[in-house]
Amino acid sequence: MPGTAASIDQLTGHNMAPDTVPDPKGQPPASSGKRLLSLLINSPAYPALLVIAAICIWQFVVAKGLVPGVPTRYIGSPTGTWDAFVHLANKGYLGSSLWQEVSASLIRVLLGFAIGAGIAIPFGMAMGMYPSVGKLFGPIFSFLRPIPALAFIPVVIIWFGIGQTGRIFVIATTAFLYAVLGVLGGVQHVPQAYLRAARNYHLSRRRTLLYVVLPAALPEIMVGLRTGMALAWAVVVAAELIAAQHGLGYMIENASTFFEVNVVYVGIAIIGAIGVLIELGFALASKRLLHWVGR
Amino acid sequence: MTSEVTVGSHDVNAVKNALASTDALPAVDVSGVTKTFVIKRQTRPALGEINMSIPAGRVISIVGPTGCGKTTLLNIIGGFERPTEGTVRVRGVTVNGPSPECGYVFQEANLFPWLDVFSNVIFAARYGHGLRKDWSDEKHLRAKVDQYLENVGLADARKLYPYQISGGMRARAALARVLVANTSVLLLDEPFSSLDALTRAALHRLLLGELAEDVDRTIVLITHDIEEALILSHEVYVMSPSPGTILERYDVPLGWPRDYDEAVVDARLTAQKKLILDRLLPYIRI
Ligand SMILES: Nc1ncnc2c1ncn2[C@@H]1O[C@H](COP(=O)(O)OP(=O)(O)OP(=O)(O)O)[C@@H](O)[C@H]1O
Ligand SMILES: [Mg+2]
Repeated sequence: MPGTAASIDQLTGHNMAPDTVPDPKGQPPASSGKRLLSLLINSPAYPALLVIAAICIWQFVVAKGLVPGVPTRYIGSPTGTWDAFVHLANKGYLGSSLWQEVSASLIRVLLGFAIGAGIAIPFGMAMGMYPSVGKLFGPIFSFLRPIPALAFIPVVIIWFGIGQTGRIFVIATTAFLYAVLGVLGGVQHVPQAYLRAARNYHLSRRRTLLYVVLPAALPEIMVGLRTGMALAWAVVVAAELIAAQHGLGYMIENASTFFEVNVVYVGIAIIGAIGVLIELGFALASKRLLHWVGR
Repeated sequence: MTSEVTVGSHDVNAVKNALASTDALPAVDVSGVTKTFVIKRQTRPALGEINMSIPAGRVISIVGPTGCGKTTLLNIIGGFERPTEGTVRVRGVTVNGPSPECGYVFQEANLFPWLDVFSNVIFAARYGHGLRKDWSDEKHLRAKVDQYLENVGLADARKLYPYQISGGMRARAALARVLVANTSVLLLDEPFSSLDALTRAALHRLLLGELAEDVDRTIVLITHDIEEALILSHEVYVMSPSPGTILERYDVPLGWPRDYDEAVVDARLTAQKKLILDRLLPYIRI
């Protein structure tokens, strides 16, 4: 593929063999400590080890009462968080099951993301195909994008009241603003050679879009969708501050007003875990769908 | 040869009128074409005045040193670039955009990386407009594509993606793609230059066989290889660089349709190769 990016692995040096080439300047080879460190951070178990280490340190610090000035029950503890999780999983939160809270958030995010991304794809393509459309809307989106979703919430409450619509609106807007960037970039970067081929075969405008521009732009579109999804998931907490009755954000917010810090941690951990799963889903989908990228 | 024209930039009636009197008209007519690139306010003349008249059913080759403007000339004929001066007519219609009459093999085989070989080859015929009206039936089309893949030796690679095959295989797929599209004019920009000598010979043989069956097809072939130009074409145009101009036009002293095995051993070709080489040698600076 002419003129496109090198693979991520090439750029990040990932996948490359550890540096075992003798140093040309004749310096002594890396110390065994250094080698051990390199072995550790390249190990697939490293992320898990990191989490376990952090939990151990946390437990140790709390057990020894090493944090001055803050009562231990406000810091929470790994065992306390685990107990809270088991309790929530069995008994639910304030009368509704934990799964209800999780699914309330998930449904909001998926719905908001579907709407935002669903608009972003045709809109971004139009912006890329027709420069005047891009010039018209580009600056508006550039202005809105860096504004935190939290800042919108009072306005959204004024517009939509405190119902589901406002929450979905906040999530959809966030997903849209980031996804549209990827779609636009993707369309603008379609290699000239493919467009030439499309012109040579006299593809109609619709077919050029569908069979050439869309697949050629797909790698960047996927990155845009991934960013949009990650941020949509990130703003769910903010969106659920709008008087939600369910959801992980609601649970966190509610628990914090009662100083149930371990419940707050469970909420945060679940949000993080689901975020990782979403990332993983996107990574798998990209690998299957975009097997040809960078080769 | 009654292809329907459906694309906007071409006046349908003009094409139909032109088709009615095809015999009289050259298939490709280049008159007074020049091209000057402007880079940072500096002008770079790429093509001096070029005049060519290629009758229908002719195969012509353009040879010349690297950078002499061969690709630029082909892009202008194909409607991908505008000439600075002059006009190009394809079957009587002034070119001002890619014409549905022309199939193009680009110098870099631009297969779509997201499609496998079979889908790439069938792509133009399946989705293109004004091409292969008689192949509207999908089953027939697929059979035809399979046959072409067989012919270019890619039968086993039909399910592979462009990144999974060699550069030579990609070049052959690009050739199969344009042959399947079956336009009346083929513009080929060094389609064989990335191939090894054996594969190249096999494709020369294949192309001559193709052309023997389809005498209406006009081909403009760009190549570095003088022998290839002589074996495959009726006429050879020799270009000189900076700015690119046609130095000379040679008629190839062999009959048509042409038998590959006789052509390669013909002493007249060897003599003419020497002639062309001598003509070009002063322009090669290394
Ligand atoms: N888009 C462009 N902008 C500016 N200059 C160009 C452009 N395209 C080609 N040129 C110049 O025009 C000249 C001819 O280029 P061209 O690609 O037609 O050569 P060529 O004969 O096809 O060479 P090769 O055999 O190496 O493919 C070169 O000097 C090149 O620098
Ligand atoms: Mg060239």
